[in-house]
Amino acid sequence: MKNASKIRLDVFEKVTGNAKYSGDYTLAGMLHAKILWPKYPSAKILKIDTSEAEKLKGVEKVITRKHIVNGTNLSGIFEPYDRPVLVGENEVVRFCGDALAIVVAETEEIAAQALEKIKVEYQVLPGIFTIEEAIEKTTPFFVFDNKKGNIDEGFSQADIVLEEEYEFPWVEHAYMEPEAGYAFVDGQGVVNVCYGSQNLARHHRAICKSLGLSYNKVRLFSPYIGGGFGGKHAISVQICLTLAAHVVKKPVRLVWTREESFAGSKRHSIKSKVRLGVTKEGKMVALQGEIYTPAGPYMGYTDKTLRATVYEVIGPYAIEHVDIVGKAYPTNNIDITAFRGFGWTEGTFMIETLIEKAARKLNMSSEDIRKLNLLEEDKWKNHLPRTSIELHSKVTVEDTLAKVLDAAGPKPKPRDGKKVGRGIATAMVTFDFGNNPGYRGTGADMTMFSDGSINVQIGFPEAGQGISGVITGLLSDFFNIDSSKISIVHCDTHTTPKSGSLGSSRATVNAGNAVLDGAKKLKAKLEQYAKEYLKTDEEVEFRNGKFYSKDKELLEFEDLMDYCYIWGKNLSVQGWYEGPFPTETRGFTFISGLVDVEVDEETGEYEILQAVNCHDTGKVLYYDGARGQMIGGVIMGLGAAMLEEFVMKDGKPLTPSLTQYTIPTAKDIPEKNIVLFLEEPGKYGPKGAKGLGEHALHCVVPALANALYDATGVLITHLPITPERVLRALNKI
Amino acid sequence: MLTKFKYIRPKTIDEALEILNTPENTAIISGGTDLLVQNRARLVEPNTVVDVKEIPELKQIRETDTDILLGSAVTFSMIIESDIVRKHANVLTQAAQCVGSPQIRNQGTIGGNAQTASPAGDGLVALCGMDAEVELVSLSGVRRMPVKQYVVGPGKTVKQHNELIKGFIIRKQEWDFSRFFKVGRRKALAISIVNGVINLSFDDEKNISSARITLGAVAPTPVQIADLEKELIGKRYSDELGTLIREKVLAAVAPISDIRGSKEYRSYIAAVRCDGIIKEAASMRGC
Amino acid sequence: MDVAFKLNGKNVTVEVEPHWTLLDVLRDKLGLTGTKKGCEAGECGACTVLINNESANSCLTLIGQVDGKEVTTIEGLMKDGELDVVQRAFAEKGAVHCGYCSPGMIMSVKALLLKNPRPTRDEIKEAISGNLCRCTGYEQIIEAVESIAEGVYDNEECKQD
Repeated sequence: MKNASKIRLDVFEKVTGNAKYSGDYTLAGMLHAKILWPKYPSAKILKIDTSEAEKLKGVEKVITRKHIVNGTNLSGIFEPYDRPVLVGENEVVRFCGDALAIVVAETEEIAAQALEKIKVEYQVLPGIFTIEEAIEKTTPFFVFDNKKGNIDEGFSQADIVLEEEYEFPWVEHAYMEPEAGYAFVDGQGVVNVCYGSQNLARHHRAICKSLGLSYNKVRLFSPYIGGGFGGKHAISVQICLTLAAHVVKKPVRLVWTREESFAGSKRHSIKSKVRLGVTKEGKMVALQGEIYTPAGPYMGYTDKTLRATVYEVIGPYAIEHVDIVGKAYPTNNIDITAFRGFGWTEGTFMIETLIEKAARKLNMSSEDIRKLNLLEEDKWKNHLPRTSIELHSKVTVEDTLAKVLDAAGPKPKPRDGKKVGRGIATAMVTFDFGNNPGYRGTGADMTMFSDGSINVQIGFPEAGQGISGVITGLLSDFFNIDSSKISIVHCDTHTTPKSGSLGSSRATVNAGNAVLDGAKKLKAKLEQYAKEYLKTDEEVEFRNGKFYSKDKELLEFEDLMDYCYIWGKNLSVQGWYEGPFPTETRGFTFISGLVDVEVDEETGEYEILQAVNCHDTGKVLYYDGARGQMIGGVIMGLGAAMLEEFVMKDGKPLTPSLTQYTIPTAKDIPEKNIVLFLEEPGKYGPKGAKGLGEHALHCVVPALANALYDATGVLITHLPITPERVLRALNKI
Repeated sequence: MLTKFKYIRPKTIDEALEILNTPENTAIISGGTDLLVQNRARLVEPNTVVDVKEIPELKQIRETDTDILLGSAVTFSMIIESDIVRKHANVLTQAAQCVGSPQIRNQGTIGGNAQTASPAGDGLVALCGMDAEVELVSLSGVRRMPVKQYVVGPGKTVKQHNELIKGFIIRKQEWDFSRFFKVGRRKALAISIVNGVINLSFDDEKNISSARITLGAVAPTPVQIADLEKELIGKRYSDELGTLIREKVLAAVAPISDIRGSKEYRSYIAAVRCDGIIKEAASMRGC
Repeated sequence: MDVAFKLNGKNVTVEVEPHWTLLDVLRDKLGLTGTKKGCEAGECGACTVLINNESANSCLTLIGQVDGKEVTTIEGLMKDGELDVVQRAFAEKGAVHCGYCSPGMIMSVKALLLKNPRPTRDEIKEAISGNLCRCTGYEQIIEAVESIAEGVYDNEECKQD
C-alpha cells in the first residue's frame, strides 16, 4: 500500500468495510435482545405479565426486575445513583426511557414479537412536561449560582441595561452509529460486554453495583465507535446487555433502532433571562441571569451541564458584579447527558449576543467593546474553577480574534436585494489537563516486541476524534519507526490501564502525555539493555532508531532485540500522566469565530457566506484530525443554530428519528468553512498541544445570530434560527 | 423491522392484475421508499407485496405528438435524465431534482409518489400542476382521470385494491415560463413545507395570457389557485399585482401547523414565493 | 424463497424470507457488515450500496428486488489487494473520522464517478447529499473527491505492500 504509513490504521479498516463496530459482531449461538419500553412517561406499573411472551417459540428468556436479586437496581453516571435498570411491579416509570423488560430470543424478529405479548397494567400518573409546569409544581433538584460583588450596586453604575430571553431546545447527538453491543460469558464466568463507551470506569461501577456483580467478573470493552459527542457517556444498552448475558449465559446482541437511540439522552435544554448593565463607555459592570433547565427525571449530567452554563455566561470578560442563578427541575421528559461543549455554547451565546446589543446601542464596534472588557491575564486565575493559568501559552483571545478578522477579509457586499451581516464571537474555555477528580491519571501500557514493533494499551476509545492518529504519530516520531509498526488496544476494563472518560477535550493531552512518558521509560530500558549487551559503563543514547555513545554509533537495533528476546528482557512499561497540579486540572484555551451571512428578509431564508474560526490549540499533532474536528464541530454548531430541534409533547418525541430531526447534509454547509490554528505551544501538553475537540461549536452559533442581527436589526435568541423565526422577529408573520 | 409478507414479482401487467384481483391483502411495491417506511411504522401490513418495478411497460417514457407518457415505475432519476420530460414537462424535471436524495431518486417512482398521496409530494404536485392524467388498469378495464381527481385526501386516492397505476399522461407543456419551487427545512432529504408549480405564458404586449398555479403542502391535497389564475390574465406584473397575488394565495390555502412549520408561515411563504416567481417570470420577459 | 443475484462480481443465491431487506441479508446472512444500519428509513445513507451501478438505500430495498441484478458493497471495491481510488482518496485526505458513514459515502461517490469522472464541487455535494456525516462537516470528503476529479490519482496504482 503506497503511503500506508501515512494512513491511520483504523482508517484503512474503515474504508474497506473491515472495521467492526459494536453491532457488527456475530458469535456462534448468539441470541438477540430487545427492550420493552413503557407506554406512558409517568405511570405506576401495576402488573407485568410475561407468560405469553415466554411461551413464544424461540424466546429464551424474558427478564424483568425480579431477575435483579443481588444488586441495587440503581444506576447512573455519577453517584448517588438514581436511575432504575428495570422498573418492576409497584414501581414507577418516570420517562419513556425507563426499561420494563428485556426479551432474549433466537432472532430479532422473534424478540420483537415477544415484546408485543408482554402485558403491562399501568396506573397513569400526572407528569411534568414543560419547564413552566415544573417551576409551578415542583422544586429544583439542583441549583447553582455564580455571584460576585453586589448586583444592585453594579446596575446602579450602568448607563444602559440590555435584556434578553433565550431558548435552547434539546439537541440530539445524531452520531451515525446507534447504540449497540454484544455480550457473552467466557470460560472464567466473566461477562464480556462489547459496546461503544465514552466512560468505561463509570459504567463499570454502575453496572456492577446495580446488578450486584463483582467487578472482575464484568469486562467492558469498546471497538471502534461510530461517533460519541458525549452521548455515549449515557446509560443506554450496557446494563441491560450485561444482565441479559448474565442471566441466559449465552451470547446476546442488543442493537438499538434509531428511534430508541433518539429516545435515549439529549443535550440539556435551557430557558433563560439575562440582563447586562454597561456604562456609556462600554464597560460591562453588571450581569444578572436566571437560567432554567427541564431535566429528565434523573440527574444524569444535569448538574454539570447547568454549572458549566452558569460559569460560561460571563465569557472571557471582566465583570465586577455578577449574579447568575441556574435551576434544574426534574421532569418526565428525557435524560440529560454530556454533549460536546455542554454549557459553553449556551453561555457564550448569551454573553456574546448581549454584548453585541450593547455595542449597537453605544455605537461601538463589535471588536472594540470586546477588547475593552476582556479579562486581563493576571485575573484569569479565579475565572473558572480548577483551571490553571500555568498551563497556558502566550496566546490571548484578541490574538485569535485578530487572526479571524484577517482571514475573513472585508465584509461582502449585498447582492440581489438581499442584506449582508457580519457577526463575531469569542470564548474562553477550558480543556482537561490531568483529569478531573474521579478521573485523575491516565496510563499507557506499552510493550515492544522483539521485532521492534510496539503495542499500546490505552483506556480512550477511538470514536473518530483521531486519538489513534495522535498516539501513532507521537510514537512513530519518538522511535523513528513506521506507524504501521504501532498497534493500539483501546478501552478495555480488563486490559487497558485507567484513564479519564472520553470527553472534556482531554484525550490528546492526557493520552499523549501518558504515551510520551511510556516512550521515555521504554527508551530508558532499551538504553539500559544496550549497556548490558555492550558490557559498558558509558552512557548509551537511543536516538533515531539507533544506539550511540558520544555520537559513535554502537549497535544495530536488531541485535539488541535479539539479545532481549534470548535473555527474556522485559520491554513492557507503563506510561503515566497525572497533570502537574493537585487541584487545578484544566487549562485555558481560546477561540474566536466570525460569520458572514446573506439574508432575504422577504422569505427569512439566509445563506452563510463564510464561517471563520480560530482556535488556540497549542500544537497541532495530527493536522487532518485537528482540522477535521474543527470543521465538523462548526457544522455541528450550525446544525443546532439553524436546523435542529428535538421536540417533545407529553413526554414523547415529536421528532423521533432522522426524518423529523434534520441535521445538516452536504448541501447545507456554508460556502466557506475556514478553520485556523494559533500554534503557540502550551506548557505540559505533548509537544505543547491543548485539547480542542469540543470548542469549535461555541463561537459559530452566536456569530451567526450576531451576523443576522447586523443584517436585519433583529436579534433572534430562540434556537434554531429558522426562516420562520426570522420572519416572526421581523414581524412579517 | 418489517412485518412478514410474501413477495411476488410479476413479469407483465396482466400477471400483476391477476394477483391484485384476489382477496389477498396485497400492496404494490414500486420503488419501496414509501412502502417500507409505512410498513415499519405498521401503517400498512400486507400479506403479499407485488413488485411491479420490472414490468417493462411500466418503466417507459414515451411521447406522442401531443403527450408524454410516463410509466408508473419510472424513477425520479430516469425523469431527470429524460430529454423528453425536460423538453415537454420541465416542472417534473425540476420537481424530481428536489426529491429526497440520489438514492431515493434512483429507487423512488412517480407512481409510488402519486399513490402515497402526500399533499407535499413533489412528484404529485408537479403532475397536478400540469393537469396530468393517471391511467389505472384492472381486470375490469381501464380508468383515466386527472391526477387532481385521483388524489382525494392526505394518503388517500380513488385507486381500488385491484387496480394498478399504468402510468401518467401529460400534455406536452407549452408555457413561456415553468417553475417548480420547494421550501424545505434543509437542501436535501427534506419534506416540503410548501411546494408548487407556476406556469405562465405571455402575449406580445407582455401581459400574462395564461396561468396555471398549483400549490402543495398547504391543503389536504395539491390545490389549484384558480382565483389567482383568473386575476392574472391580461395583466402585467406590478407591485399592485404582487399584492393581489399574495392576497389570492392567502385566501386559497388552508395549511396545518406541524413540526416543520406553522400554518401562518406556510401561508405566508406560499404567497411570497408565488409573488416572487411571477415577478421573476415577468422580468425575464422584460416586463 | 431463493434470490439469485450478482454480489461483488460473484453469482450468489440466498435462501431468504421475502420481507427481509437487502441490508439485513448482507449483514446477517452474508456476513458483510461493511454496509451499516443507521436509520432504516432512507434518511442517513449509511446503508448505501450500488444496484446495477446506481446508488440505493439497502434498508429500503426488499431482498427480492435485487433478483437478477448486480449489487456492489464496500467489500467489493478492493481489487487484488489494491484500494479503489475512492477508498484511497478518502483515507489520504482525512475524510474518515469515526468511519461509520464512510462505506455508504464511498459507494455514493463511486456511483457518481462511474457516470461523471470529473465532477464539480456542486455535483459532488449533490451526489453525497443522501449520506449524512456527523463528524467531518463534509469538507474533507468533498476535498477527497475533488482530488480525484482533478486527476491526482490518474496515473497511480494502489498496491498493497
